[in-house]
Amino acid sequence: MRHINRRDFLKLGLLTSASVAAYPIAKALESKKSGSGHILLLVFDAWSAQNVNLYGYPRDTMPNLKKFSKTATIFHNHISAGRYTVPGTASLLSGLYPWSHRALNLGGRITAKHQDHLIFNVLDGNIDTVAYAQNVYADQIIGQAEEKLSQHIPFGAFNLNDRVIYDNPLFKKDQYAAFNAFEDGIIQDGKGADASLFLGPMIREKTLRDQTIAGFNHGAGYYNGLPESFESYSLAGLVDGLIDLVDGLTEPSFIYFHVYPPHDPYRPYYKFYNAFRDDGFSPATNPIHPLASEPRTKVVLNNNRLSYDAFLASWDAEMSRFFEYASQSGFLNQNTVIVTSDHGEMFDKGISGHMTTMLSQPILHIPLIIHNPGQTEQRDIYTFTSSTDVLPTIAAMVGVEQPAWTEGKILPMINESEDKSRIVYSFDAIHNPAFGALKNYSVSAIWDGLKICYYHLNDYENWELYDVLQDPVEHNELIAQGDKRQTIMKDILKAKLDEIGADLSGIG
Amino acid sequence: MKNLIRALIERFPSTAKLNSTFALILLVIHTWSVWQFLYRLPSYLMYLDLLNLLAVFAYYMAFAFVESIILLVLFGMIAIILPKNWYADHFEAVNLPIVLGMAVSAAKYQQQIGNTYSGISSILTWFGFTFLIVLSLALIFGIIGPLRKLSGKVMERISIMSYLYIPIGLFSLLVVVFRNLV
Repeated sequence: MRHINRRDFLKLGLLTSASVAAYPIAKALESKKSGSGHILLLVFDAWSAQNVNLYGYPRDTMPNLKKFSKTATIFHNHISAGRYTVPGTASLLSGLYPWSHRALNLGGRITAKHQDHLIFNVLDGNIDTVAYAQNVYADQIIGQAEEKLSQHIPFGAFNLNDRVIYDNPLFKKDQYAAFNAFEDGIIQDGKGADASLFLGPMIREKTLRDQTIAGFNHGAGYYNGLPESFESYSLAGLVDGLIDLVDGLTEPSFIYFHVYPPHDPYRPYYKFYNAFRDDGFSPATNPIHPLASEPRTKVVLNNNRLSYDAFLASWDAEMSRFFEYASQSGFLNQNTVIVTSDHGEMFDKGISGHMTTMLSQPILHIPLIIHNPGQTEQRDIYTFTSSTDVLPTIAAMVGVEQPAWTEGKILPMINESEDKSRIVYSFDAIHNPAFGALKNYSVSAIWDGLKICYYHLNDYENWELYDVLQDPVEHNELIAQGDKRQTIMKDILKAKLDEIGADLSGIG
Repeated sequence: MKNLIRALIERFPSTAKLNSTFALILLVIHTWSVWQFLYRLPSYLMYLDLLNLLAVFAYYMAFAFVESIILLVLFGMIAIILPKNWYADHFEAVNLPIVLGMAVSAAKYQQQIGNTYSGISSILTWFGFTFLIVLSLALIFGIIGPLRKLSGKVMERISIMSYLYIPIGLFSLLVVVFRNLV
């Protein structure tokens, strides 16, 4: 076991900055500086690295991605700064941690202080920018850079029925207010009351009817109906849309393409539904966590995991068409393709999905795969990296200096440059006002494979420590076992919380 | 043709009767909308600044105003179609139970909509049942003199609400139009 004192820690910290700054992504950077290629950032919503075979998962959920990755750089320990779409996407697009960008709440977006710090603003004037999000919450964050975008593809562009109102061209100049008023307000989403007494239920029934018709017309081949993201869509339609978009680009562009799969509801193709059933894999199921507000049984968790894995396999099968297109058309020779997620998903500790205040590793550990132009061999990066690193990396690719305000670092692309002492954080404060002091939050820090979590919630306060390299499913909580490393890990986190001005009252 | 148009216009309720019905519709729809806004307010306060919060409220009120106008137009059209002494002559008196009955039914119906389409038979059953109840109430209020008088007096008092909701609705509509044009 390694012994680290505070002096060692400080030394490592200094080394971090020096070593990472010294190893930018040379090849990609040179290629982009010449202004020749596109950068395609593909974001799969709610995609956990821990359910992908490429990342060691026993089920072969994404064989086509694995094939694609043979000529790409795989970041094996990439961590989302946020726990769900709003903070996760905001961190990805701003290079800031949630305590800075303050997109904390469902429906929230980046604070005025940082709204000009989106990647689209950073790249403005250097490369065209195209953005699409099939998640309405991510679309609100994109909307903050509306004036800088060369093209903002409407939310419903690849969907099969028209349910969402805010993306109507009538509200193009005021999408955020329209979104907050109409969606889940004037017109209710799901069960509950519409603020529109008479027209609300009529519109809702009509859109549900349209959704049913779309299911009849396009749902063949799906086990349990079409996938949905406020509106119905087909996996094939999404990939067709992506190929058409990429194919039609004339100017070098940065394309942000944020798709909903594999976010729930998990709607796999029929042929994959039973692909992993009775395959002998029995996921380690931890006991119910105190933060599981509506605890699920192990049977439910394992069934949901099966559906999620089958949905991943379905999405991968469809994405194979894009990988094939990119390979055959020569797209991969001249352009950069980045594949990642905004956050993960979990099926453990009584929790299914990601709507929990718990910062569990399956929710935070997300894939990151970068194919540089003409890359012919696989590279593996094992150092811990953060979703806040994507912005400075893309900026470097385009030849833009790393913005001073970003809290991320340029990603290491060469094995020798790996920074073992890097600390990456994740933060969640969904029930804390975006404008107020940080009093009701969950936070985690990972350093050298050790992960410390601190829950400073209104109704729950606790520390947890895990060795996520040895124990990625977080089975062994180390503080309870008297692990002495807890002291330095707690100090690291306390120092950060103090720096960001979070409430530390009652901290143990 | 001219005779037909004249006959249709004659069936149209008087301005005073239209005003009081509009006031009732405004009251019911706006009260519901404000209530629903207040229900969601704690969530909005988490992440919306004051300007955006007011903008969202303007959308609620503008939509409620447009919805009120649509309903009034619907009542006006029914008045044109039905014989005058059936409906237009008792416009105020019968609209009170009709609007209130429809409001209760719609509020209840909202709660039963889920994530899947209920189906046309389910919708027709619900609204058929509502129609029967509302029609019965309208008949009772239209036929029984004291009830008709009571209804008229209530409507008269309610009409004051139009002085509140019409300016709010118009202003909100302007706010929404302005924000989407400029």
